[in-house]
Amino acid sequence: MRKLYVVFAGIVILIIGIAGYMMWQRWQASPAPERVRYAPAKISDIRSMVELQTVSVWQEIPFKATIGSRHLVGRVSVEGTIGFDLEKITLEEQGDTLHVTLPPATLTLRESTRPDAYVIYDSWNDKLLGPAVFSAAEENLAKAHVLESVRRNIEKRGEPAKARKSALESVARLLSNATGRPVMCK
Amino acid sequence: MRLLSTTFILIIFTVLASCVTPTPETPSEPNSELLLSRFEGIEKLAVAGMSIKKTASINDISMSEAEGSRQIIAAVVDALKIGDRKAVYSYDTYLNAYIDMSELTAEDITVDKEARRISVRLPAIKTEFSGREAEFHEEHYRVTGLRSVIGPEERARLKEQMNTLLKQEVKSNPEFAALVTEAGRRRAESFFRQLLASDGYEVEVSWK
Repeated sequence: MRKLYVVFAGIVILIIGIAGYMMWQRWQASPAPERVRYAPAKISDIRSMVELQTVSVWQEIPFKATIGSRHLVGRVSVEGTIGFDLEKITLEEQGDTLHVTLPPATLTLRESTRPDAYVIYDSWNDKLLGPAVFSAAEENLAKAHVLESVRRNIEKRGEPAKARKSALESVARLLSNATGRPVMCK
Repeated sequence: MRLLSTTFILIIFTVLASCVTPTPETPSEPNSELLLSRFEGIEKLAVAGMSIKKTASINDISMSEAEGSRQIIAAVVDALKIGDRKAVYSYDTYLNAYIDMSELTAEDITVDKEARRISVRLPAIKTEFSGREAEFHEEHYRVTGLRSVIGPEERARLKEQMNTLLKQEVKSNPEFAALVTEAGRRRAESFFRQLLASDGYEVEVSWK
């Protein structure tokens, strides 16, 4: 009789174990809760242009933003180009020679699309009971300052002048090959 | 006794086996970027740009939308929370169409003086992402009651996920690249015709 009870208990435990395993598998297979919904990507604008880009820029910048007693520390990766709008070039013929004037350089800087281009490491408040969180507007302002600082550094390094030199060579080569005439670029 | 111990061992093995998760395949690593800063000389003629908007919303799970046991339990938990937590964010990513001018050689430009024609054979247009808006537009924000605020860390993770999804969508839908390429092609053809036409020469533009 005792043996019968033991076997019966064993069978019950086995059934419970199998049922538990199957419920666990169903639980794992059920869709995970997701409180974020993503809309499909949509095209907001298509514009044509003719910009000769002669320098590409990529920088990874750690930053710290402070507003009052609140602080934010993170890292942002920035990418961009230095280019020249060829729709604004001027062409002058002086005798046999073509004189080309390039417009001023345009430095385009944006947040990178590479993985982990924007990471926040920490945000805190020096006051014990104060809010630590930066609003989206404050955070956007901090990022704008970072990009502006990158822009100033690039200009200080003389990169636009180097880019211009490359662009002049490129345009001179193109026009010279096409027209067979000497080309002076500035 | 022997039967009981065997049964017990079998149950233990079954439970342990269900706890073991298969080791995920290591994804192929992208090329590592060792530099913190890079300035590179390039020779690209950007001929069109496309702005692509990605939007995401944060909201609790409602009972009517819940599917499966995990979502139902999450919906019940959300219903018990005091207050609402809703937000909508968006930003633009840029896709450029460009011609790699380093692939344009002297042999690609031929001048026929008799026919008064200049023929230019341009390299095929390529497309690439050229960055995204640094600004993360907060289209809507309403956090009330005892709900936790949406802070910079959460927004950064959200933007990262949106970036990953957008790149997958653009890669899997060739229409994005096709539209910006077509706009670039038209602009490039009209530009080169205008630039090279002189002294009554006709300019013919073709593509490699």
